[in-house]
Amino acid sequence: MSYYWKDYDYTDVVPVPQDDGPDPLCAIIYNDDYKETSGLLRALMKSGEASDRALAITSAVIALNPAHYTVWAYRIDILPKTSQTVEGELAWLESVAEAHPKNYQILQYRSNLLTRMVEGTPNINAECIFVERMLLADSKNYHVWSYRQWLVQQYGLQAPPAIDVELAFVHRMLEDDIRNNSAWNHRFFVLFGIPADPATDEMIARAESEITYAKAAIDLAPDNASPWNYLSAVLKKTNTSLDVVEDFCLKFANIFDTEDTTVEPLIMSRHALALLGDLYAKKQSSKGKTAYQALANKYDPIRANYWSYMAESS
Amino acid sequence: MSSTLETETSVLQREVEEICKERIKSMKGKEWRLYKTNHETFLLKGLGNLPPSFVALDASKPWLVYWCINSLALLDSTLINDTMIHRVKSTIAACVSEDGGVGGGNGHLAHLAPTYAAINALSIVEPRKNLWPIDKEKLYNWLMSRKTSYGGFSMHVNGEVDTRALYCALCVASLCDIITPELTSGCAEWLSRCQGFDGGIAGSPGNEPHGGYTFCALAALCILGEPRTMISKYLDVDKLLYWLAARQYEIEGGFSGRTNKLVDGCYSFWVGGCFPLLQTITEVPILSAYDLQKYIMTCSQVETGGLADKPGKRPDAYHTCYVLSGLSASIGNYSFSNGSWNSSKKSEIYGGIEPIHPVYNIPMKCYKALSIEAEVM
Repeated sequence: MSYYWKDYDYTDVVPVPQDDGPDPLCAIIYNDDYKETSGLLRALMKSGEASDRALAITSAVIALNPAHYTVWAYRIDILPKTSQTVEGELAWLESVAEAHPKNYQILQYRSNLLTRMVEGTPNINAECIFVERMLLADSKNYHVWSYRQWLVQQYGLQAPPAIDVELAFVHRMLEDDIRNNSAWNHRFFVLFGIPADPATDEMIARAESEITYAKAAIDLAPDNASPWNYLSAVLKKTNTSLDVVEDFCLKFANIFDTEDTTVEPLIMSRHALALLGDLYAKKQSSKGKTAYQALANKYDPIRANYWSYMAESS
Repeated sequence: MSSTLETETSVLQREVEEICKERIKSMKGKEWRLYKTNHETFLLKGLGNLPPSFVALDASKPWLVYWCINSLALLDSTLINDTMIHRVKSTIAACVSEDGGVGGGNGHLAHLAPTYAAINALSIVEPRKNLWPIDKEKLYNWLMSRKTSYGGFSMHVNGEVDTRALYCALCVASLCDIITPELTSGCAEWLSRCQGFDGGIAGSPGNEPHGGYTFCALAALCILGEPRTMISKYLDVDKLLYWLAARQYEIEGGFSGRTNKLVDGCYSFWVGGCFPLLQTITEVPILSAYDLQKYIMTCSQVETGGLADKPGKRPDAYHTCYVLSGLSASIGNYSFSNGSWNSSKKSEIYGGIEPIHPVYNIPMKCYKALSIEAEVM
């Protein structure tokens, strides 16, 4: 059903006008549509009406201003008392989401809808398709990724067999853009959970293959910070020594390779040099300080203060 | 440099670098100064009647007021006169909800974000807290009703739970002197779980680290206890510093909000504002203040008034507030001692900007005036 507000009769409803008080700041000159629909909405909310025409009015106001969180809260409360089906509501939401991708309310509403209105597990596949469609327009959309993480947590998608769907999805996103940090974050979340929580045996068993995965990504684009950060995070979470990536890092930053000081070192990635700095500093080797100083003085001058601080405290 | 695979991210990044490079070059030799009068005109317009296209901000009225008033206060503007002060108070009063919090507009549900904006705006214009249109008891009960069993806060009934909500709740409680152990229990533990894989802090556990949420989490920890102790206890400081330092971009000089995202002027505060809080631990400056100021003065400032995300974008009240706050945070020298934050005096650099309070983001002098009045009361 379309629930178009003009299809309903509101002649018995006395609109409640906007009351911003005397001489208000930032008063918006509303257009007639917004004035009319929000006047009716205030009246229906005041009387607590739960009906199809009330639902239609919320659709109208949301179309004009989807950030109006009060309307969303009212809508979810009255929804069970209207003729709208969950499927109909999800389809309507999708159209609103596509028109307003940066909105905070839409996906929060969608998660409320699934937990309140659907008994048992909803159609996860449909939700995943929805997420991917939203990411086509904006591959780093924060709300959409957060919603996917909510789905994972809420419906246990980090367990087999769902985890394979998640990993395949992340892999596709990374194939589109290996620098998509939102996708790297999702991969970490699915495989390793929250960084602050202790690692399980299962997570520790995943370390090796994930190190390989990150290395392959780095080989494609050594300047890409995301897989370097991912690599560090996997090592830390699983308590793996940084030593296992020493040779790999030296491939991209051969500053310690040669005794001959006249040879200009080849630094293909400042991230490699940074990781080597951490690796050596941890071992109390002076090479740690050397790496940090090289970053401060030559390879990453915008962060000179930071690298000098690291050199001082190493 | 070795060959690298070009992707959408790297192509967009290069484009923005080129635009900024051009802009910085075109400003070479020109003095960097704030176009104060033009910014005041822009902000006054922002406080006036707004065209129908602003309907998207109809549920953000206290925000609009705060962004403009905070910007004017940072510029030490004489436009904040008695009439303006009165209008700020009555505009906020119209947004106060029956349950004690503040909504985005008249008749809107109470929501933590506009409540935060409202209390901040009131703190700037009215040092006598007893004259605020706020019922502290009702407000406290409403704040408690927003708290979840696991230590986070939800923005409003049926609303999202995130680090922003928690920061807003604690700022409001702290400025209204209604902060209690019941309100704060579990908060720090929850925030600790919001730190993400690359070191920054996310909106909620498992989400991607983000500059805005990172500031909210850090500032919240600074309200929850002695800043140095709280930050070191609940966060991986090494990772966080690395992530924050990585947000500054070499060519642009400004900050991005996430790994592999573009520079945006508003992160001058959301990311830049983390450094004064972390200086309680590092003791030395970490960001390159010069480069950030270069971005602000050449790429973000619009000569005809207002400050913007990046060159070519239109200025707005939100960016004006957070770019100016970030500029202020990068100039003032901040320290925490004997239970309170201190800053250096007002700097006359670039034409003059007031130091902010690094936790609440209101001018330090307004905060100090509040404290004095509270003792007298």
